[in-house]
Amino acid sequence: MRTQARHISVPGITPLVDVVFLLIVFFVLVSRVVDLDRVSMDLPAPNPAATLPRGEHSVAVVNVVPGDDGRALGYRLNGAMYVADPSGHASLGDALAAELQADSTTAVLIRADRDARSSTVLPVLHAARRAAAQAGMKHPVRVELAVEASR
Amino acid sequence: MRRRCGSVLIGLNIASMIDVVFLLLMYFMVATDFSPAEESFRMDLPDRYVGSEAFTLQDHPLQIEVLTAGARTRPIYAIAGWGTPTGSIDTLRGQLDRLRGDGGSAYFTADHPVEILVSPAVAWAAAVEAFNAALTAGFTHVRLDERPGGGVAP
Repeated sequence: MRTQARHISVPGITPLVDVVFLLIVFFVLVSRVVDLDRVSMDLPAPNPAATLPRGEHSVAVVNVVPGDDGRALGYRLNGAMYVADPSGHASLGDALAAELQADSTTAVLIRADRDARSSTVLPVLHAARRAAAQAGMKHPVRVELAVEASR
Repeated sequence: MRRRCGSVLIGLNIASMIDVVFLLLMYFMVATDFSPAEESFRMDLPDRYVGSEAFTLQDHPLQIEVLTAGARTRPIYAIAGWGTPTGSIDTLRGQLDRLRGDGGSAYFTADHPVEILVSPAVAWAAAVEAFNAALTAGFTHVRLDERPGGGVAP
């Protein structure tokens, strides 16, 4: 009589961990929310900066998209691009007015490169001011200037 | 690492461990945000032409002009009517500290309005530095605007 060899199959835990981690990495990669509100640029970095902690209010983020030699390629708000000329400034003002009409506590957060000429940023201030008037706000529009956090 | 247990060899598979370690490394690299943290300065921007209750300028504002002597030159900071123009942000800070002072030695109170008037040709970083200097000196009502008539330093 022949003795049948007994095979005990034990599931290997290592491949299971491999697969689980691969799945985690996959989902982290695909679900990573690309922050369209924040264009990559070198923000001013005053040190020490007398900044205030961010409040809970909503913000309309205006990015001054940096171009060559301190110029701006345009302005980006909510994924839309506005050209850096008077018509673009007017359109940006209209878009900001719509934001302020929807919620008058919205702050306008201006993100501009440290090397950008102020002439490319100041139109955003004017647009915000016009937008507040257009939205019929009784109080001043709140503007925030983005800087790199001091280390 | 191998141990003989009777006639069965129990071994630790190093290759799988390396697999897992690399996966962990990948996971943390993907999950880490490498972009620098951001903070912000806050200011209320009233309508320039209509008086606003929240920022009514009862006093003449202390004006800090940020000028440029030409393209690719260092900015010049000038407190209108106070002190000499300077190219150093630290000197500007010192001047503002003296104006703000402590207790009885202060020329201006903390809530005295301060306007940063920026020449369009100045780099944005210089404008933000001046804004920060005013806040660091203790002024609470600081706002930034375009210098009337543009501006190149005289």
